Amino acid sequence: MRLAEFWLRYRKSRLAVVGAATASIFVLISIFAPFITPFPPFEQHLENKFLPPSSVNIFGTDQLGRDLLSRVIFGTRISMMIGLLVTLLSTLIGILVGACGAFVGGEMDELLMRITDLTYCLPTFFLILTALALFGPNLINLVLVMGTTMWPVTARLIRAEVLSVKEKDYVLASKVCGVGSATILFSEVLPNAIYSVIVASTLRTATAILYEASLSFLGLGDPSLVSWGWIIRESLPFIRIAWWMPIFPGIVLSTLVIAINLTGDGLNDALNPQLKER
Amino acid sequence: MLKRIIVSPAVLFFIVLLNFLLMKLAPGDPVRMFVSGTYAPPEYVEAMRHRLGLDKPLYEQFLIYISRLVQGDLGFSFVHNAAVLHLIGGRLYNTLLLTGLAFILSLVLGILLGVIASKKPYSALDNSASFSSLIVFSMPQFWVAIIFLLLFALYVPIFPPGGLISVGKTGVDYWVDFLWHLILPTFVLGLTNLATFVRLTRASMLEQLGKDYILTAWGKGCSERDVLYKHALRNALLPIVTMIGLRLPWLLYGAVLIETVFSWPGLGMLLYDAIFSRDYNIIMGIFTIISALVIVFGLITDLVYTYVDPRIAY
Repeated sequence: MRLAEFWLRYRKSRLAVVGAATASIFVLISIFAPFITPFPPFEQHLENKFLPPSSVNIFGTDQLGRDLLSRVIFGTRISMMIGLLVTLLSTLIGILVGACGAFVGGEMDELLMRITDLTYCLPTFFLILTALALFGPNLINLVLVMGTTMWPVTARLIRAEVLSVKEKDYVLASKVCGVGSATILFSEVLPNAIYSVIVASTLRTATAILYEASLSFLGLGDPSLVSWGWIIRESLPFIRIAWWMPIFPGIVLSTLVIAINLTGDGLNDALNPQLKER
Repeated sequence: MLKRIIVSPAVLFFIVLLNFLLMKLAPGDPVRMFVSGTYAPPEYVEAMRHRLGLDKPLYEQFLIYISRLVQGDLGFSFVHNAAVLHLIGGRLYNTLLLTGLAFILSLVLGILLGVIASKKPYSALDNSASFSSLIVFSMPQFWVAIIFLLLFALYVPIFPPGGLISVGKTGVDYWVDFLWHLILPTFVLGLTNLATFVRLTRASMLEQLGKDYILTAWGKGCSERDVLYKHALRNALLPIVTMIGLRLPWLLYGAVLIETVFSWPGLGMLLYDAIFSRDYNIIMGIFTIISALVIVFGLITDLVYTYVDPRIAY
């Protein structure tokens, strides 16, 4: 599918376009965070604590007089980073496991699929939580633990796809020509399977961002970084006197996740046209 | 079927092994928990290692770990000064009650909305049902809980702001008060899990409504109600039964977060406190218990599935 054709299909859904545009804005915000924050995110002004939203502090201030808008803007970075890195890592593991199993076949396939099934039926969130509590909550552990538990869906998709194209004429033809397995995988098989993988990855990005927020909210965030879940956690004792403290980070977080999910839905409709017409 | 029943304990064993490995691989020395300050005489550390069984080979430690688990020993919490199983047992009912009620709420409401949405696909009603369920699905559950707490317990104080019961209630009043405290958390947990069932019911209904037997039913002169609920929905429910089995981890994940906001004394609150006080035995115990719950529940839904759809055999 050419890019122009894809775009023609994708823009049919107005919601999907809005979603993708919003998600792109979040990417820009996270990249340029230090240049657009009105105040440094850690700067305390105790004389200004619990200020309601105003023209100076658009989102108000927190219990230490820190500007909430600046903190929320910096929080974009950690959510984006987690979303991207976890998706990359889990997709990579999923592709490797799924493709290995399907290509090699036999007992290797059986073993890898059992591991995939086992990982799939674990209560993922609680596994991530337990591992993170034991190994210490920091950014690297967060990415590693989430990346190594969230790959089974991709592995299954890739395996099914590889199995279905493995015996097709064009793959057999490349094999006859003496092309190596790895080359066949990356140049013949993956481009066909990539559509469903992209959709699954997009939706997983949203889940990873929600997981990170939930973990930070429960107290397993990286304490040296500003995260939306952590800001909401800190606001809990003060919600009676400062409603803006939990509300704004939550609105921003929800907006990002909605945008990503809309993008995923749009990609699904655009990349699998036969599904839409059914 | 037999295969399915054999596989479940294997999954549980895998989880126990995983728990053990995580515990062993984690940085930090358990002996340090009993040694205050930075210096301890080496003989004392050695004696402590021996007492805790840490000088035994790894497989032996694992066997001891398993034999204790089988006897229901999930370890000891030094923060609460009580056995972990005892602590979890005291909270489990509250979590299961909350999760169960929310499950029923989301299932019934989700199927109903899904059927309504499937009546006229791509109509305004269908689009708004799909869109709003996507929005609720995308919001962090603990945040939705905070909004409801602010709105309906603090600004418009219809419901209590949290806890299990009010002080000093007895008899019927006690149970009414208990349910009163339960409504808000149940509603939030049910609402945030609605989307999956709405979307699945809608897709499944649309697939069924395109089939020939539905045309036959219309041709026979069945009423819309009969066609939708008696013919289409019955068949459309099959994938939903599968989904029920897969949703439990998500509901428990939501319950843990929502309990924290509403101070509902279930596993979530226990977990929240355990994370705060670094009480690892409780955290691992909760992981084990929740995994066991998920596996048993998955097995039950599979059994139910073979009953509702006799074509399936495991």
